[in-house]
Amino acid sequence: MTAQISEKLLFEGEKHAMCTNPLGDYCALGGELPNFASNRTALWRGYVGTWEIINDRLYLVELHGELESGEDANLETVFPGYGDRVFAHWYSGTIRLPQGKILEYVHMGYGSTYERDLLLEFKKGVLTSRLVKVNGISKDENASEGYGIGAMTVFPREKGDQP
Amino acid sequence: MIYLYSYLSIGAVVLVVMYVTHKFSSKSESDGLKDILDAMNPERKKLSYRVINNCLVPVLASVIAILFWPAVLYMKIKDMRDKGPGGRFEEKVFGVRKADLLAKRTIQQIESDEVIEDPLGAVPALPFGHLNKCWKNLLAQMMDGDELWSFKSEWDGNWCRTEIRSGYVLVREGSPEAFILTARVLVEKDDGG
Repeated sequence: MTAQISEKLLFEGEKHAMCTNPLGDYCALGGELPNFASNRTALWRGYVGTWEIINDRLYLVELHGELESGEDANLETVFPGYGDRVFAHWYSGTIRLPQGKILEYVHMGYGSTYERDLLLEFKKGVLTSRLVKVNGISKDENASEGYGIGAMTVFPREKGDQP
Repeated sequence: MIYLYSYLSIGAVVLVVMYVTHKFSSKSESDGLKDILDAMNPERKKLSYRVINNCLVPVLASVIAILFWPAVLYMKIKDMRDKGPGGRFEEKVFGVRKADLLAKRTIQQIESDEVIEDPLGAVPALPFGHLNKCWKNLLAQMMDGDELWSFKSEWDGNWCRTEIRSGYVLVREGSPEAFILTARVLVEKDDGG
């Protein structure tokens, strides 16, 4: 499995790479998602969501993806009537925001390790605590800063193609 | 010497049987799967990889099977026992156990407790918010005499990860049946760090 493109999180005025997929939990709890097209190895889930924490609450504020039907998907597609923002009340658990220089690149999922992880703990979509976990200090001056993926393969497909 | 020949002959028979069962039970790679595997491992397209994978490995495996057929036989039997009746690994299916039940609740109590409200109006003000449909589906399955209980379970899933799952379950004649989940929280393993 290739390293995956992260979700995005707007938090305290900064944009972070977010290595957690709260929409996966929505699906696991019985929520219905449309069939997203998985046409690149670095994005098996088929979409990228932008999240925002406002007054300690987690919201999904943007979503970009492509459906298997070939149509573009956005927030309105997934949550009709809630095209501006969706309160992620279903999410309980930890959200991981990797920070600093890369320590070890792992070409799988969100497996790479960075100097620090900002861990945000949520209960039913509400931020309850935060913790910075220090994983080490990079000795490589040229090490890349911030989350990134090394490579991916894109599978070209015609609009309307069925898998 | 006769014992050695007998031993190797049995090994050869085991090899043939294993080969035939493998041929009949395994599916070849689909084009889609082949594309994905090629993308994940570009080495697959190289001649050296194909020689090793298609020639050297099968020959080596055949020699090992003939020489160490008791071990091969043991592993095959263990593999068949681990797989389900359909010949595939059975995916674990989550279910609520009696021991997981917490408290009997009424529909009114649950609906009152589980209404989700949001100051920015980013959720329908209904029980279970964006997951209200799941609740309606559960209620649609209720029959006379059924009870609703809250539950909390520890679940060792299919991906070597433990989760705490909680929600509500229909209890029919004392037995937990259909359920809805309201939370699943991954239990972090203590890595000593």
